[in-house]
Amino acid sequence: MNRRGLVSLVDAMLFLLIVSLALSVPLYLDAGGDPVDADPSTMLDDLCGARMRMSDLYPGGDGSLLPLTDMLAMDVVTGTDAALSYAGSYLDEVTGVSPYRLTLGYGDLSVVIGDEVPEPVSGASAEVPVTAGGRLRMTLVIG
Amino acid sequence: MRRDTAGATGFAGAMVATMVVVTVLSAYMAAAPYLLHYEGDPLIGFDTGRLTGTVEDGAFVPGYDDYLHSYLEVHGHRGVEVRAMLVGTDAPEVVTTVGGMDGEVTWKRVSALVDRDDGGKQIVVFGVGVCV
Repeated sequence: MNRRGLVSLVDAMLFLLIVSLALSVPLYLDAGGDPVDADPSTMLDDLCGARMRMSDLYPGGDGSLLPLTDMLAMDVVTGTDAALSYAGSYLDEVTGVSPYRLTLGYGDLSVVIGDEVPEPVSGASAEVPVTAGGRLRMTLVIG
Repeated sequence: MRRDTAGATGFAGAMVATMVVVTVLSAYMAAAPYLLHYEGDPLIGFDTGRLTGTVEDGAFVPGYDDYLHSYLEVHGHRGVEVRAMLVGTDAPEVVTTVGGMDGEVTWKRVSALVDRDDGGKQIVVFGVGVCV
């Protein structure tokens, strides 16, 4: 093969290689499908989206429907733990054996649920308004 | 057949020859991630967004029975089971099983918000098991 043929071959190989790589990228990205395991941001979304009656969590509580985040903020301020226990039960179930640490901050106060996570694998943060005023800050780390 | 020592085949011939190799290679590159991922996780095709239901009188009522049947038909697995738990309550776990679960089962956990009959939204933790 002469020089012209060799140059043409290399040119064609490079062209096709680049095109094939470009075409395979969408297929690669689509192959995995939706992950099934809940991720930290989904867990925070669930905690932020839940609306329950006070009486569901607090003995003697009234039947008014409130965002769970309102009750979590109340626990942070008052030192009660009904909503915090509920959030802990949820995270215990959904994370399984994986360690987790949820930090809740409201005003200058903060509360931690879970243990220290020595090797964090994933995490997420959220901040939601509280009906009584202010915002509840939530940071979840999973090992 | 004589070798093209003069390089007369040129660009077109080289492209055809290279195209065969590159096409096979690119097909493999595109398929490998899916095949490897699929074999490692039979739950890849499971749409967790279909895990819905309602909470009525404090009990969870699942709304995914039809989806579990269609999931088995499409993917050809032996069986699928979903265990739904209303965390923080005394409500019993609701187990829905379609097909047989006597074999190797892969489990995953997910959660979702479901509507309550009083207008609220409650968290449900699902354990999803697939028997291949």
